[in-house]
Amino acid sequence: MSGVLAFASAVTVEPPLCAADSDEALMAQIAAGDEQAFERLLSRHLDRIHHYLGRLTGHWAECDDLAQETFIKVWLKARSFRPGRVRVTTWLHRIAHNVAVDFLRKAGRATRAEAGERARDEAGPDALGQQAEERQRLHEALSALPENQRSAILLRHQQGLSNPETAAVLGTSVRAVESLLSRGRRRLRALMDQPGNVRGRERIS
Amino acid sequence: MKYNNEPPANRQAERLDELLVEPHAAPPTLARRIVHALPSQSRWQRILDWLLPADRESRLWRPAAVALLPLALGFALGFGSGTQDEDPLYDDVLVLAFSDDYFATNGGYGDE
Repeated sequence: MSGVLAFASAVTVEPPLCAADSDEALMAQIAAGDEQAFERLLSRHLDRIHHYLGRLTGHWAECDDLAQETFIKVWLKARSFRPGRVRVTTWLHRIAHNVAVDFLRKAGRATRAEAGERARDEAGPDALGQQAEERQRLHEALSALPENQRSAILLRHQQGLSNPETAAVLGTSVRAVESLLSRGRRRLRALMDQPGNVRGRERIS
Repeated sequence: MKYNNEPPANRQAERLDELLVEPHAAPPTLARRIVHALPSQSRWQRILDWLLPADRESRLWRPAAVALLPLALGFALGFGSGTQDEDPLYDDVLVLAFSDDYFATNGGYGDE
């Protein structure tokens, strides 16, 4: 008898991992207007999306607004999400990517050069040391990359999406993503090797 | 230290990966700010969202179904009105029509 009770308690204490907590289930609840489900999805993905937006645009000051715009679109478009066709993370990144690209288009090409300077200013005088300097060089090198190469590198290497998922976010083929990644990484390394030249190149271009 | 025996290119690539995946946290108040900024969806907006969804399949059949609703209503009303043969007024109308015809052909009432 005690064995049966122990078994029953074990079953009830540790419920099986159900799909009710998955991103897809949360999206279904959000589509029905559930704010709590939205908050849970937000807490899961806000940091990643915020990071992606910041790195892609280089405008960390506007990043909060862009993240807000992204998640409000998620709330409004939740009904259009079709589970099974695409993962929630891919869908979220696609919305974030479109918001960032719209922002960059509105801001204009000139701001890309400013982004490198702004990143340097935001690092501040306290950000000393080799690691901070490396981080700064990465910021500047990323800002100098073309937008599609930068997006591909960030989605694949920073956000951890697969090549097909990256292709889905960028609306291109897997082969094109592989090419973007290859060229982007090569150029990024070259730019990081020449830290003094990054801003100079920006001024020229 | 673990990079010492590796070629410089590999070391650079690994360092680049490390820098790219550095952890990042959004401002702690941002989540609350986003939740407060959520717009409330009106009933009309919900109807429009249902009527014109993003996916192609539903975008085709839903407006078509809504457009066919008046036609279906017309059919329903049309077929429904055809079953009123047992209306008592119908007999009265027949009698009156017959009477008019009778009096017209016989020159009116016999008393006149």
